Amino acid sequence: MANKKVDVAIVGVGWVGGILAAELTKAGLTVVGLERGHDRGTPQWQDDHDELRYAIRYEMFQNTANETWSFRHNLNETALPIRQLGAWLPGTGIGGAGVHWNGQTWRFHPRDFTIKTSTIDRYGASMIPANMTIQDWGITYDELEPYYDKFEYMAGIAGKAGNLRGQQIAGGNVFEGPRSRQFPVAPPPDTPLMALFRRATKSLGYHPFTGPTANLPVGYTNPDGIARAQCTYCGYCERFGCEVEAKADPTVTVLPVAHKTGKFKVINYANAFAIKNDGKNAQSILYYDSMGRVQEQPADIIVLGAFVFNNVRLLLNSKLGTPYDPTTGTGVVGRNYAYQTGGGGASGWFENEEFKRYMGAGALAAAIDDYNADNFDHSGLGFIGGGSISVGQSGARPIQSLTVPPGLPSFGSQWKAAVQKYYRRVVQVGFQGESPAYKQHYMDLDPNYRDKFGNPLLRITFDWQPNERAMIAFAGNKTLQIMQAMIPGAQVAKGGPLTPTAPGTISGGPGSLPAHFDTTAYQSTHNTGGAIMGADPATSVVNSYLQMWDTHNLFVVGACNFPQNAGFNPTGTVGALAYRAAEGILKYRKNGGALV
Amino acid sequence: MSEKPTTANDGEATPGPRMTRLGLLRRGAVAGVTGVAAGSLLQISPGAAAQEAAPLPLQFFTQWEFDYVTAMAETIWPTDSLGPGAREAGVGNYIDGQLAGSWGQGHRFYLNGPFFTPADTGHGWQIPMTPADVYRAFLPGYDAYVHTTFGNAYPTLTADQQTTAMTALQTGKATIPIGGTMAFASSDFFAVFRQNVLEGMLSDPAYGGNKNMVGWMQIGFPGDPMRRGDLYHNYIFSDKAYPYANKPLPLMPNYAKQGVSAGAAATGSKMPANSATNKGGM
Repeated sequence: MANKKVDVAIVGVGWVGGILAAELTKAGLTVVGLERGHDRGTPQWQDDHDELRYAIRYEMFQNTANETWSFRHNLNETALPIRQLGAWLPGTGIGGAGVHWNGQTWRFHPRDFTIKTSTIDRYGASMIPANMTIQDWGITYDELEPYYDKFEYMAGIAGKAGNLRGQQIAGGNVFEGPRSRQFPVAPPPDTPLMALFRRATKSLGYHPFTGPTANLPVGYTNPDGIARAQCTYCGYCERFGCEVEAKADPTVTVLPVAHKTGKFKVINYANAFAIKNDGKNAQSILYYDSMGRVQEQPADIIVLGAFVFNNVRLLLNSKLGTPYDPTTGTGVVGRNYAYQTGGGGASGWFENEEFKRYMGAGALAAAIDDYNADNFDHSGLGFIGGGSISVGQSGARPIQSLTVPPGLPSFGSQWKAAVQKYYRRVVQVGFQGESPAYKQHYMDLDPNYRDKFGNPLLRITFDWQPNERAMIAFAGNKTLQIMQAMIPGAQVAKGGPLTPTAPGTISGGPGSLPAHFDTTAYQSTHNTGGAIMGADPATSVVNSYLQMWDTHNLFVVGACNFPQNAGFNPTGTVGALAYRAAEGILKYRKNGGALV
Repeated sequence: MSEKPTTANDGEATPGPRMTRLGLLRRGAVAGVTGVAAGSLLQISPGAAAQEAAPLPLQFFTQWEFDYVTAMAETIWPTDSLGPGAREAGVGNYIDGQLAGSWGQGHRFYLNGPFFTPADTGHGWQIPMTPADVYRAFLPGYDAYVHTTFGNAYPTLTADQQTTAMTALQTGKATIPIGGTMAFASSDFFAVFRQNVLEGMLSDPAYGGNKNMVGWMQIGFPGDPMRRGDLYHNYIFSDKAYPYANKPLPLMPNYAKQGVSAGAAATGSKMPANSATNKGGM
């Protein structure tokens, strides 16, 4: 027997599900959220300063024994399952990955939303490689701005505007799109390390600023009346929950607002596996309950608000939309899988200075945006795109933070001496790069491997391409230069013997990516695409309200909407899209039909 | 060369009578007995570990495995003038607890077939074995390699020989089939083992390693100062050194000294949510 029909049923209770639940229940709708994991919140995080349990043994993440992905590098390979987590760490449980994130909260650049048009306008069509399938978002930065603003005021994002209604402001990110108003919270002060980065990048002519953060530097009460405390800089952010509620997460922001209306209900241990539909209309969500029984949740409007992979797999399992075909480039579901391009950073081992690296907050950072997006001239460089460059002080938990200068052994007394010396003295200048879309990068259902319920795993086809290799090589030289300005006179390690008198040692230079994408080493949980938004139903799954082109009462929301990925963390944009979808759902509720 | 190795060249560990004898001996003392061979005593800390009271019960390892792994861990993080090593920190007990617990038993590993050898790099673990299975299968093979190469068991080699033997793992020079295949290379084992040793040195003492917080103190990690009510926002924005960097606090004070191996229990204790889901298979 089906559950009682509600106005809106949502798959996944993370940032997307939480924002929609709050906005729609405030507007009077009844909402049910299906969450595969357990209920949780601040009380659970009071004793979570345990690197082994949370960061190494993956306490808060998807259990790959139950459900994982298969992966291949190209269309000719047989995909193999990812047998344990590595490259990315999706969450599970109430709040989703929004509980264990760092809190780095960016807006994408105006150019990112019109990447194809902007690239062709500036450089000509030949700048885009033949198999690169980047496309415009079907929405502009200016159209999305009010929703970014909503997300930032709800979450209490701290930062300094670099562009206020078109007016550039030194000390903020002067490359960002215009903001309608200042950040709700002023940025945190500089740590000595951030100050050093700021001086070094300024001396090189760049435009440093404080990274926008969801870790509150001071107490804040948001427009919903939710008050949260300031950050203690305990150093346990990413992969942990926040015990003082300083980090914005759905369980301490939007979910209490939804629950307070009395119109929101969460069903835990509900594993959605299909959307019952007749092609035109989505009728209900089919899910396995905690006992493994099939249950049905009918609703007038259905929202897929789970992580990228789960949203795409649900569409494919439900035969909603046309699956993407990488040989012809036609079809839409699974199209334009993209990621985040790392590498290109530089490391520096200081001989004299010490930094309190074990202190920190997930988004406590100084950054420059001079080499992101199209903020610099790409003529003759051989690639498009760029990335954000930053030095973060997010808390160096010891098991994961023992790097020694190149050329030293990786065990034994000599290594141990280096570990002891450098644990508090090594710093990284990081590069977080764009990931363009390609014709052959996509998601579909795996023919061989199944999850614990017997449903096919999602198969990912992806590898590094020449454009990103060129971008990373370029970035590595820039971060090396910054590190050299941070440790004047440092030696650049070449693998040979080190000079003991140098004030520091640097590892960097032209960055490189591995021969093939490595699923085992953590890189980023910024997976994107597969249910992308756009202006054309032939090349996108949803319109600019995240409403499915073919099925008007179905909304698909999240980083799965990104046609390709920008050189920034995605959560700010995911949050903005969720607010946009909430508005779309209320419009649809009133008028019905296609919103665009 | 005082004692014949207890491991046959076919790679099978043969516990038998020696096992029983080892079982009666203390961890520190074991090395003393087996280490009559020249030089090996230098590897053993004469300090606390050998003198302590009751040894912790083993949850997964046999005593032979425990001694082997402890000696190998000491090669990764040795006892030297800079401080105590893996043996004194209890890394052997840490790894034992982890292998007996949910990680070692593969509770988060996807182990559905088919299995095959990847055509290229980047696919990670592709064998139908848990970490516990791998340790159990790998150690006898490695012991056979060490005997063939050095004429003795790992715990009785000199420190230099142990370094050479460990490097043979790291570089993949030691060819050690598991289950008759090379799908899991010796360099793969080295990566897992080295990581486990770092965990055993630097995780909370509640997991059986990092006894007396010797790992944290060696690198200057303060543990969990929230327990001191000592919030970092008072220090992070200033140039002044943090006064407690070398006086760490553990999560649970009672465990710091005893090194109670709570690894399995603690790792599994927040599992009920997931295990409820696990039972829902259909």
